[in-house]
Amino acid sequence: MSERCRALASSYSAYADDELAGSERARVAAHLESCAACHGDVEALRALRAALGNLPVRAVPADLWDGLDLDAGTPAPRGRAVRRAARPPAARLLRGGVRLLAGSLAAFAVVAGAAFALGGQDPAPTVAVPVDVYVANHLVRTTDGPVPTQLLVQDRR
Amino acid sequence: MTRGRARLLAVAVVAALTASPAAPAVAQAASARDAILRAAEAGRTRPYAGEALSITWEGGRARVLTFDVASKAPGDLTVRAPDDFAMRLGASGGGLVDYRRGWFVPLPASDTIGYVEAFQAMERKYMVRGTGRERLLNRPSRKVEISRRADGRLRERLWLDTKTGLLLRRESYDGAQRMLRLATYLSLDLQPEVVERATHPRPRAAVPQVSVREQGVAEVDLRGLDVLRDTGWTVPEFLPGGYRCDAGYAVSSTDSQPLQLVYTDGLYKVSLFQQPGSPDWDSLPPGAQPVAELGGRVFSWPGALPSRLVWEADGRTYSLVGDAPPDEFLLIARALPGPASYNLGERLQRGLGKLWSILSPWS
Repeated sequence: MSERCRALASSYSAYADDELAGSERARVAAHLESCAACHGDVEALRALRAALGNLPVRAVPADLWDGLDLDAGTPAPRGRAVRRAARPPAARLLRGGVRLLAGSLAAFAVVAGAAFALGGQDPAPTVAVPVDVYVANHLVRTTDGPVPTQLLVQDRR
Repeated sequence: MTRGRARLLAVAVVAALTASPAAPAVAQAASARDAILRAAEAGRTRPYAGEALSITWEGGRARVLTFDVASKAPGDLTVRAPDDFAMRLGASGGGLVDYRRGWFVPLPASDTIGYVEAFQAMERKYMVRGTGRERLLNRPSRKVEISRRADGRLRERLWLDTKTGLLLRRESYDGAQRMLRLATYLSLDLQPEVVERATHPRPRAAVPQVSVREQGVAEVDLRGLDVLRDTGWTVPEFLPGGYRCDAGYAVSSTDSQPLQLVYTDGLYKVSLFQQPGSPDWDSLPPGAQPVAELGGRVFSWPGALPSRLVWEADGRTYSLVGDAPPDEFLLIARALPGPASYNLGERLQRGLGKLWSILSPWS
C-alpha cells in the first residue's frame, strides 16, 4: 500500500456509504480509478453494507432490562444483559446451593433456639432451709432419740 | 463470735463427749472396750464440775474456748461463762443454740439402748486399743486410740479416768493425721458439794430468753423408707465410709417439712435432710460460704460443728449435717445427687421433646 493509499484509506468507508462530498469525494474517486487495490476495498465495503441491510429486524425484548437496578436517569450499562445471558450453568448451580444451605441453616437455628428456650428446667417451688434447726434435730436424734417438740434457748443481750 | 457464745460451743463439745459419746469399737484388748463403755456410763451418771478447754482447727485457724460446766445428774447440766451469763438446763428435752454460728448443746444422753449396737457397728470399721497410761489432771488415766481398720489412720485419742471412768480429754483427727479438735478439762472436781455450788452460779448478765419451736416428728420404719425410695426420694441404705442408715424421721414445721435420715459408722453420725423444692438461699443462716470442691452451688459453714452442707439437686434441697471427719463428710456428699450443672446437650434434648409434644398431633 502506497503513501497515497494510506492517506485516503480512512475515507473509504464514508465513500462506500456515499457520505463524502465535494473535493474530498473527487480526490478519492480519482485515486480509485488508478488504484485497483483500493478500488477492491471500496467494492468489498459496499458488498458488506448490502449484506447487513438484508438481515431480519428483531424487536428488543420488553424484559431486557428487568432485574437490573437501573436509575431512571442512568443509562443501562452496555452489555450487561448479554453478559447475564452468557453466565455458565455451574455458577447458577452454585448460587442455588448457597441459597439452599443458607435456608437450611436458618431453619436449624430457629429450631435450635426454640429447643434451647423450652429446654430449661421447670422452676421448682422455693423452700426455706433452716439449717440451724436441722443441726438441732440432728443432735437430738443422735443423742436422745426422737422428741415431739424441741425447746431452743437463745441468749439475748 | 462473742466469748459467751464461744463458751457455749465448748459446752457443746464437752457435754457431748462426757455425757453421750458413741461407744467406740474395741479391737483385741477387751479392757479397752470396757473402759470406753464405762466412760459412756460415767458421763451420764457421775456428777462432776470443772473448767474445760476446747480448741478446733479449720482452714489453718484455731478457735480456743474455755468455760465452766457442771453436771449433777442425767439431763442436769450447768454452763457458766463468767463474763456473760449462766444457764441451767433441766431434763426437759431442750438445748442451747447460738444462731450466729449454729452451735447446739444437746442434753446429756439418758438413753443407752443404742450404745451396744453402735459399739458393734464401730468394731466393723475401727480398731480400739489401749496405748498406755498417763497422769492427767493429777489423776491416773488410760489412753485409748481408735483407728480405721482399712488404713490404720488414727481418728480419736481418748484419756479415760481410771478411777471414775470419766472422759478427761479427747483428740479428733482428720484423714491426714492432723488434729481437728481438742476437748479437755483444765480442772475437774467430783466432790458433791463442789458440784452443787457449781450447779447454782449467780447469773451476771442478761437472763437467756426461751424461744419455742414446735415441730411434729414421725419415725419412718424400714418399709416406709422403701416406699419413699420407690417414689423418688433419695434413701440410700449405705453411704461411703461404712455409714449405714440407722433411722428415718419425717419432720414437719411451719416453714419446712424435710425427711431426715440418720447414718452412723458406729463412731460418727451424719444426718441427711431433703425436701422437694429449690432452696431459698436467703433463708440460710449467716456465715455460709460456697464450697468449690463439690461443683455447682453448694454452701458450708467453715469451722462450724457439726459440719453442714446445703445444695440443690434434681429439684430437691439437700442438707447434710454431721460430725464425720471432713474427708469422709465430703465423700458422703459426693455420693449423693449432685448440684445441677449446666449441660447444653441435655437442655436441647429436653427442649426438642417439649417442642415435639407441642407440635405433634399425636402428643
